[in-house]
Amino acid sequence: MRALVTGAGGAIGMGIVHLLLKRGYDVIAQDVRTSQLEETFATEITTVPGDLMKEEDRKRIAQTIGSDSLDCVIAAHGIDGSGSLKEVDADFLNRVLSINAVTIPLLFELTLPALKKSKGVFVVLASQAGLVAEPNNVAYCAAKFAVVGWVKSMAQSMAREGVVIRAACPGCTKTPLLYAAQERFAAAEGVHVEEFLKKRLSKIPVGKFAEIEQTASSVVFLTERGAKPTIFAATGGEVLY
Amino acid sequence: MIDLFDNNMEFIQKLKNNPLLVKSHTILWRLESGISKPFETYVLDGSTRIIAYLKEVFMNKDQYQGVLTTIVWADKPKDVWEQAAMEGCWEAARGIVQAITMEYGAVDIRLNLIRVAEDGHKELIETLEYLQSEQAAFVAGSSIDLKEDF
Repeated sequence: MRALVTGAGGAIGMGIVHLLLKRGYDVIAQDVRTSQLEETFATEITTVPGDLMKEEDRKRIAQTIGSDSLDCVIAAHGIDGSGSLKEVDADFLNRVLSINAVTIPLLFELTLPALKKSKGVFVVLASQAGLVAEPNNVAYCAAKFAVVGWVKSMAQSMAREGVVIRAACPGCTKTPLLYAAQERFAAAEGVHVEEFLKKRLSKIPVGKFAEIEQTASSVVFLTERGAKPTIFAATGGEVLY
Repeated sequence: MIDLFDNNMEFIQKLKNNPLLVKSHTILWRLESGISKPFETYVLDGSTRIIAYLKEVFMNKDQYQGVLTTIVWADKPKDVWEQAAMEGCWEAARGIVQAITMEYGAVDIRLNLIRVAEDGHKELIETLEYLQSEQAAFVAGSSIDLKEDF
C-alpha cells in the first residue's frame, strides 16, 4: 500500500507517518523542509521537499508518485492563521488562505490519477475551526470552512469515480502551532496565556488537549476503506458534529 | 451595495431601486462560472476582499451601525470542480461572518449571509426585507441558504 502525506514534517504529520508505517504503507512524505523527517525515519520513507504553492514543486511530487497508484493521500499541511480582524492584512490573508485552502484542490487534482487506480482515499486535515468559527481567527476559519465545504461537495462528485474524500476536523492538539495560536488569542483578549488556556480547557468536555498520537490516529482512521464519515470531528467534545 | 468583484449585474440595480432596501447595507459576492481558477478566485480573492471591507466597517463602527448582509450569488456551476469551489466559498463566507460576529458581537452591526442562485431574485428581496425588519433583530451571524441543489 502506498501513501502520500503532505506537511509530513509537522507535529501531526510526523505522527501520521509513524502510524502509516506501522500499518505497512510505503510513505512518500512531503514538506517544505524534510531534514527532520529524514533524521527520524531515515530510509523507511521517501521524502519530497517543496512548496505546494509552487507548480514546479507540485510537478516534483507528481514525478515521485510516478505512474503507480496511491492508496491514500493525507493533506496534513497547514499554518496558523490566528489573529484579530484588526491585525489581519492582505499578505497574511493571502498566505493563510493559499496554504490552508487553495492547495487542497490543487493537491487533489495532482493525485487524482493515482488515486483512481486504487480507488483510494483523500483525507484532508481540516480543523474544528472549519465547523464552528472562533473569534480572533477569521483567516483560519475562512480557510478551514472553505476546505470542509469543498470536501463535502467533491466527496459526492467523486463517489461515482470510486475515489473517497474525507476531512478530519480535530480539536486542540498539543503542538507548537496550538500554543502559538493560544498566545495570540490570549493577547487579543488582553489576558495572560495561562489564564486563557485554563478557560479554554474548561470548555473541552474531556478536560484536556489531545495528544499528537490521538489526533494522528483520527486522521489515519479515515484512510480505512468501508463506511466512514465524510467529516469527522474528534474535538474532545468541544465542537459537536 | 458593495460589489466585491464589480459584476454590475442588472439585479443589483433593481435592489438599489427598491425603496425598502435603499438604506440597506449589502455586499454582493458573485461566483461567476467559467473562470480559470474558480477555487482561488472565489475563496482566496473573495475572502480577502470581504475581510478587508469588513475590517474597514468594524474599525469605523459608528459610521456603519445596523444590519449588514452579504449575498453570495452563484451561477450554475459548469462542472464538479466549480461546484466544489462554490461550496467552499459559501462555507468560507459562513466562517467569516460567524468569526467576526463572535469577535465583535452583534449589538452595533449585525452580520448575516444569504446564498442565492439563478432565478432567486424574488426570494432574495423577501429575505433582505425580513432581515431589515424588527422581527429579525435576533438573527445574527446566520447563513440563509436559498439555493436549490443542482
